[in-house]
Amino acid sequence: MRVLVPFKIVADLDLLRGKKWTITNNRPEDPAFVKKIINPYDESALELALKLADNCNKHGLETELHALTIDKKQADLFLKKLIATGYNLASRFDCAVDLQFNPSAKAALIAAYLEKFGPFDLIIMGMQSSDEDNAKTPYLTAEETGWPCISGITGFNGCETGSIRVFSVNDQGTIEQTIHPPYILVVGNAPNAYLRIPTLKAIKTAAEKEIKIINLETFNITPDQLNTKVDPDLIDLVAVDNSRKSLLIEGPSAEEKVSLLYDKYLKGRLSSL
Amino acid sequence: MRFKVIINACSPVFLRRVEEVCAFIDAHKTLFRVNHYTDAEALVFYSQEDVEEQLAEKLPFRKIKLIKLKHYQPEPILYALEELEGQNPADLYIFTGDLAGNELAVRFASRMKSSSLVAVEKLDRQQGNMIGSKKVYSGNLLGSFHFIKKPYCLSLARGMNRIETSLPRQKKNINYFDYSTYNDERVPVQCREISKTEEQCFDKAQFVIAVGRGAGNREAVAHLERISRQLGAELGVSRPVVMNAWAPLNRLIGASGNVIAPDICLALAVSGSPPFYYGIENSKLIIAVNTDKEAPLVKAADLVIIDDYKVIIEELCKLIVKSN
Ligand SMILES: Cc1cc2nc3c(=O)[nH]c(=O)nc-3n(C[C@H](O)[C@H](O)[C@H](O)COP(=O)(O)OP(=O)(O)OC[C@H]3O[C@@H](n4cnc5c(N)ncnc54)[C@H](O)[C@@H]3O)c2cc1C
Ligand SMILES: Nc1ncnc2c1ncn2[C@@H]1O[C@H](COP(=O)(O)O)[C@@H](O)[C@H]1O
Repeated sequence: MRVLVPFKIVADLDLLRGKKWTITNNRPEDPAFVKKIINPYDESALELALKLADNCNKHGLETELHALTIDKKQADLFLKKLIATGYNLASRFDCAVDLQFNPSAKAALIAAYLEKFGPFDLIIMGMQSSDEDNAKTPYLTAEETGWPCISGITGFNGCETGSIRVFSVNDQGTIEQTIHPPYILVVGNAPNAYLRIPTLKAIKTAAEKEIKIINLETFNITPDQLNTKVDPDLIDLVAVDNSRKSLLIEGPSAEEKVSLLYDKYLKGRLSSL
Repeated sequence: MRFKVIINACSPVFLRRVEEVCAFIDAHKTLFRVNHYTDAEALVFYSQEDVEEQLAEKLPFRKIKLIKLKHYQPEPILYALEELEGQNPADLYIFTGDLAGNELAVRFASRMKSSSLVAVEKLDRQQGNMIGSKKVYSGNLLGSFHFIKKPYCLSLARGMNRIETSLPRQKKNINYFDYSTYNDERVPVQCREISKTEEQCFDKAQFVIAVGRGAGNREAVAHLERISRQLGAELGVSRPVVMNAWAPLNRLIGASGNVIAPDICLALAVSGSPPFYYGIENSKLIIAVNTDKEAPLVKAADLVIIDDYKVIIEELCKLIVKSN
């Protein structure tokens, strides 16, 4: 089973909570100065792929896991880490074009990778990137490749016969489906899917392995071709203000604070519920 | 502007989505050049047997295409949409504010070689251009996007305003289509519902206790669940609590979970990042209990207690139980 996991490196936006944002030319400046992480949904996708490989190996089925990111050099550290966790190949698409808010271009590049380095059986992706919030790339990849897809994935297992049991949650409820590759699995809020921590030895071995760097020339794609894919186009960006009264309830002890909260603000409200 | 609405009635909570769509249309009446949400045309997909009359009764639109499927799958829906709409598409398609709506909007637009935007909160016309606004950067910023190619396909943001809807049956023009024999060997025939979304726990909740990662562990969350029940509140949780499997996914609050609007939201040990806050911002009263006075929820709450949540909830329990 050959599995491709496209993932994105993002700024840890939780670290910017409550801060004032500066916006220049429709791009926020602040995320550039913040620690980078793997996009939370992609972290789950990457771990679920590793779990699937563990499961397949247990049943004597060979797997090959590829992690792919479209990014600059900043991603290399993460790619090395993924090799250490068990990825057989870590690739970086260095396309030198700003693809923020251009999910169509990203889907086209993922599909191009698939065509050149395939065949793959599965593509596992996150359902949304935490900065662009497009929530589009996986679905556009499905259309580019003609593969069916399932969204809201919370887990999958069983690959004994080459088919996979997939669990997903959507408006309808929790659904179990048995699929036969090829498929695109779009990972949602999946419990217990934090990326595993590699051993020191694995980190050392991974440090010596090569990251596969590819660029547009490999595929005969020009930057212009990618730029024409922007639709819709981002034209304005403003900060959201959530502030409320924020009245601090103070007192010498917890008991007194709660008593104040209860008497003044809660008692009446609770009795009318 | 010719626009149509796409509804997935395979979902047990589709009427909630219909009410959201109707409120959205009503808020954009001038833009859509309609008097009322009932003027919209709807394509409605369903899979249950013998529900046509029920659907005809409940759906509040004048023109309805009722389209039968075997069960919910994006592939047959996209196939039907292409076949029914491909030749003479409307200018704009509104999809619902859920995962299915997102996926269908994006994939249908891709097949029509047109523009799509997911989780839209507002539409506007500026200098002849159609502009959609949505939250980006995890809810910290609001982005405005210019749709370029028609038909514009958008899905609504989760948990948008709703209105109660109705339209007498005799005013509706309904056409029936059957795509239940659609056969695609790529998509699974085996599709088992493990649990159905029932009326959601937060629908009628007037008091919600929202718990974050600061709760510490599974036992603490279980304890808070018992306390919530005792106090007549529903328990909601943040994403890390779900990710750690301290509580089930249907309790998740936020941009990727439930959007709630209780009278009281007591938020314990939750930092209040924008994706979480999105889920509680319609609460009438937000009370934040946090040990960190710099936590963003402190500024975004009505009332704030800086203290250990364990002590606060214990004390509060005593008072509420005593007064009952
Ligand atoms: C695309 C995307 C979608 C997302 N969707 C959602 C969503 O729908 N819902 C959601 O919740 N998150 C969502 N997130 C995650 C979100 O960004 C935050 O990571 C998350 O909300 C943080 O949860 P938290 O507040 O529980 O944890 P933390 O940020 O870790 O906060 C814990 C808080 O507890 C406080 N605390 C600790 N101990 C105590 C104590 N004893 N007493 C009182 N206070 C204490 C701390 O001071 C801290 O403020 C999403 C993220 C992304 C990228
Ligand atoms: N730069 C990127 N490189 C590789 N995969 C990406 C990239 N950006 C987005 N993706 C994938 O697409 C998913 C959805 O992203 P988005 O459509 O931007 O919200 C992510 O969770 C990733 O799996």
